[in-house]
Amino acid sequence: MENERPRGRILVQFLPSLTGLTRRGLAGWAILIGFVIVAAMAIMTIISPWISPYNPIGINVGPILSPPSRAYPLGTNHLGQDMLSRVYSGGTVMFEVAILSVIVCIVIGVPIGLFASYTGGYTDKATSLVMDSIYAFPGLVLAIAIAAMLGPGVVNMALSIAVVYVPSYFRIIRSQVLTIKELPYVEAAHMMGANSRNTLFSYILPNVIPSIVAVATINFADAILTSAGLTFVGLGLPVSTPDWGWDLTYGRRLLTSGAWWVIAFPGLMVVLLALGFTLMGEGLSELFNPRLQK
Amino acid sequence: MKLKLNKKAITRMQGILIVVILVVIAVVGGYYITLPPPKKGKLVIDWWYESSGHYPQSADQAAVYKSQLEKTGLITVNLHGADWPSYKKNRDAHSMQAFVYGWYPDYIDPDDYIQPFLDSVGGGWLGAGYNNTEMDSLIAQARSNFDPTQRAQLYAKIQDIMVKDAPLIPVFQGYGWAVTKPDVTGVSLDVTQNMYFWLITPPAGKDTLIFGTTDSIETSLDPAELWDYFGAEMTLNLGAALVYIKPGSSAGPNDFIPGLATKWSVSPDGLTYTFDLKEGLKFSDGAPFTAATVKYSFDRNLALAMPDGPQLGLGYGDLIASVAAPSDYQVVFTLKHPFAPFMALMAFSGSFIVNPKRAPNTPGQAVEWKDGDSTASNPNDLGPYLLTEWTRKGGKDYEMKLDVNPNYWGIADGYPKAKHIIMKFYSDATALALAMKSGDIDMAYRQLASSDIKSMQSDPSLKVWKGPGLIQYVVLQERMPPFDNPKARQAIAAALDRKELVNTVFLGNASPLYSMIPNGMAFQTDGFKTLGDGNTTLSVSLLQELGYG
Amino acid sequence: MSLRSYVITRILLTIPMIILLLTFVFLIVRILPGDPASLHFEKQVDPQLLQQFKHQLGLDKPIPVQFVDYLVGLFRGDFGKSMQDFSPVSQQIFSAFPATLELAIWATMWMMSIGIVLGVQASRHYNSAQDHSIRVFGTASYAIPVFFLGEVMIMIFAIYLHWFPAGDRIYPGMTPVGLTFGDFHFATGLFVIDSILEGNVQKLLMSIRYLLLPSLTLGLVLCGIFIRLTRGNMLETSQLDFVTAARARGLRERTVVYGYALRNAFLPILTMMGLQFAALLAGAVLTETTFSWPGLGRFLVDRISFRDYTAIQGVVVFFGILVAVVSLAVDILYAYLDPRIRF
Repeated sequence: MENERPRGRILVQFLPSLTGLTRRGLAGWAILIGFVIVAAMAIMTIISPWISPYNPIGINVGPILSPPSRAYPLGTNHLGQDMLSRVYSGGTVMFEVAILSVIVCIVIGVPIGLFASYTGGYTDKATSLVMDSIYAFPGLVLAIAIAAMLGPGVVNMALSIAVVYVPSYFRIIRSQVLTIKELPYVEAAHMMGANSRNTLFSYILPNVIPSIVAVATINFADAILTSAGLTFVGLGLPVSTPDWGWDLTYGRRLLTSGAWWVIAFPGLMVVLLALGFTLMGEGLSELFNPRLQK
Repeated sequence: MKLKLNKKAITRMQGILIVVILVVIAVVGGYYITLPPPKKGKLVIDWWYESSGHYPQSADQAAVYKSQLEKTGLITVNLHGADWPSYKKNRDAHSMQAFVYGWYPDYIDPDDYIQPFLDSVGGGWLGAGYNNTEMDSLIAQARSNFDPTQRAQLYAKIQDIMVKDAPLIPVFQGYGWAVTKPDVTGVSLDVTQNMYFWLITPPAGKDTLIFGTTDSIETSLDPAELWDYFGAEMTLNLGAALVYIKPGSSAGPNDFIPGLATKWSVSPDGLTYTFDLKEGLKFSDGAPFTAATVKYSFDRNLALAMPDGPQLGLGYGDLIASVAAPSDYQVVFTLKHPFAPFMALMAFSGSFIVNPKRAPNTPGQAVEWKDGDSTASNPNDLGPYLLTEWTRKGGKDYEMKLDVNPNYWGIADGYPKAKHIIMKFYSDATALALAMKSGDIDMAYRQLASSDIKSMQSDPSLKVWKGPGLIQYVVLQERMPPFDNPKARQAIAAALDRKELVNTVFLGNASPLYSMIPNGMAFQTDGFKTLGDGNTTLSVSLLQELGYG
Repeated sequence: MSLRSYVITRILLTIPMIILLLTFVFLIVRILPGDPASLHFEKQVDPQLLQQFKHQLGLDKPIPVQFVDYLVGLFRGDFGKSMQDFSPVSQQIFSAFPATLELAIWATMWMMSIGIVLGVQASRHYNSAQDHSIRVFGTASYAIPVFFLGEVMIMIFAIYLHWFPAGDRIYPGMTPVGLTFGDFHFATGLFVIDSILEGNVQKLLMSIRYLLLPSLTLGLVLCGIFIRLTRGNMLETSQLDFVTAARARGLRERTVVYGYALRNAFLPILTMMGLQFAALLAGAVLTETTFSWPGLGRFLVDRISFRDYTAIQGVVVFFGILVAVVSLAVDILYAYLDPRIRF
């Protein structure tokens, strides 16, 4: 046992094969289903230019506001745009914003979390205070404030969302680091002469990675919902980019005249995508931090 | 094995390299210098639209304009949306390269559709930078001429030049829509586009009409300051004018009916107008209505000189030399030059009479909204309704209460039909449509989306009323190239397809407009038809002439 | 530690948090993109006009002076002046706040009742289909954008079934006026309470009718976490001895569950309620826009479209302070109820 590299011992916990997942109960199923949903939607978005029957932003490709029919399976909207093509390609913006915000979060949050909690002392206390203040704040409101100042655009939306979620990463890393710091084998490593940087990278970081993955997945889900929220509030992108959030926002006006299909299908897509990520995230969290052992 | 550096070889290499680079630079430079001026590529336009619902379906229009212009293959359109207050600020700052604007008539005469746009002074508020002295003189002649034949000739020439210069591109003329519960009557949507509240009957068995709208007060209720549709609507129903245009008429020269004035006459030279006033009328504080109050009203409104107000914009000061009150019930207007639409101007909101006690004569200061005091917020008086409540929430108009004015002269004839009106302000067309459909309000007027109107037309529990509506046009900023060149402006005009716009955005509920003078009005000619609709060939050739390709 | 020293420590800790938050918002609005006044005008504007505008809002002073003014102003309850008409933002915040408060209160009631009831059901049928479906519902409800759910509710219950109104807070002209004794006038701004004070049953029923859909929508979207929490705590406490003992004594299952087990699971639920308050406010912003509910959330959204940055700053600050105060209150309540955590 003592010869086993500590990195491996702890990592082995989170390398289940996909089939192995189903043997891990409800959590495993959740991860699997979530992953399938997310992967399917990502693929759909990527191949959308090839499978869209019409140009998603082309005006008058079909009759105005026609309900789902054979020619236009998901109907058309008020400008005669084909909803099926818009649904295929509408996820692009959301994926872009979500991926960008997660990357920014990780790039900023992880190093700060590692450094602050490992160093301890006043750095730790001060950073925790800042992070806690942001964390306690209603996320969407803060994102709205930042996005309102920065203006529309994919990058700006991603930045606003990132700022709001950095504290989540910070907290989880901090709690993990504090626990791992105390583990006997880490102390043993210290006594054997490993310096701080070595400890951080070889010992602590690999064990923190599972938590980061779990938080990142939930971060994705939140990013999608928040970007939809920002678009709804008017801080999204300009008019003609195909975007589920935009269809959700605009489709509202068409509900009163009975055109339910403009808002229903993009809405369903957003729900599915967020659900996929949430299932994955919840499953992963449960797997790494098992709670009820019954 | 170590390589020994051959220093000689390196210097030689360096030398050769330098020579090669110099040769390349010479060849490439020479090529570019001797080339004809390169094609500019595509014309990039920053196209603005109003995004807070002030105009109907502005974002949809913008999307269609963009696709139409980009069909030429030589234009790239970047869309920008701005809420109404910012839109106006941008207009004043001349910072929008191309933008869409609208217009409601102040008075029914072609002059009101020409002078505020094509005259270099009158069109100053729009800020497009158009300046044509020939046009200015034609406009001045046309408005002071009473002879229809001569006016027709003048306006034909004006519209001709309008197409050649194309500073503005008229696009469509919309409809005004109102939706009511089935037992509501008296909704008049005529060519004046005035909404006469006092003619509307509430639903059976009720004495209160609940009126929903997405409009709100832009500046105030002061006729010296307001120059927007909703402000004029409120002044019409809270205040009183010397004359009115007969509701439902075509607003011709014989369609004026008495208001505060019972009789009127004009001198042969068209410079003096005399009005006999109604006697025995009282303001709501008991003070008598006399000619002196009319004089005070006009003098005060003009003296206030509100920079964005109609007194300056329509040129009251350049028109009226003096207002005199020779006796208690007679008013005499002396004009500086003859003005064909003068009577129509008297029925316009800027000519409504204010209550002297509530409208102090303080230059630069109009009567503003005061929280909790609706009377102090409203200088209009003598009309069918009193404003008894005006609440705002979060800085936006929330509710207004109008109650019948016991001193109104029309009470003997049974007006106003609805003794009380509650006005509810909605933040967007959807909320208004929802309220109408769920029966929360008795009447919805401005602005409903075409899709909602279409579905309401087939709803048996709702009645849809239709009448003439606003015109909308594209404004091209001449201070920003390439729109300083009329060819570029014509290229845009040719590329736009009015028919497609009207069918796509408004589902056919609007008519294409080929002149600034609206369809059905005297002296209109279909000037812009010569440039065509969706005429990509003409547009492309004009753009190529300018170097785009 | 006594309750008093805990309270004092907690308050002392909250103050730097609030100041940090205020600083953060200040940085975002005044420093981050540059100059909020120029942004308000978007493009070129007459420099003199801009200068005048800035002066009227105090935006032409050096940044440190602005910061001090800002903090001092907030301390006195001044949230700045709106860029639209220079009126005090605090006035508008306080007039719009009661609507949001009422929505939040009712949403919390729905959130807790749905969450607790479903959580208890799930725990009692552990590992059954019912348990699994409830857990999935709890996770899924969070994934639905609140405005989408709102639109669906409006479609079904307002437009199609006509059971509920589609928006706004009350029928035109029927605003409850609260208690009036001659000149004395007292109203809370919470329509349900005000109509009770007024003694007007019609207004009371109407207020509830308008309140139902928006609060239910918001409650549904946030109840997931309560389901999970209740279920988890119930599962834990059900195994504890005193519960088994109660069962053995022959008490009805319902009494055992709600009377004994739940009471002990209550404290974490209470804390969670405090933590969810922030999410509640965020959700309220979207819900109010969907249902045309005239509260603070909708005010914020309106101000965004008018690029009124000082008002946006004021509302965001207000939200921050509100959240800080509520979590402080919850913590103190928790400490009062459970002496263990004071140490």
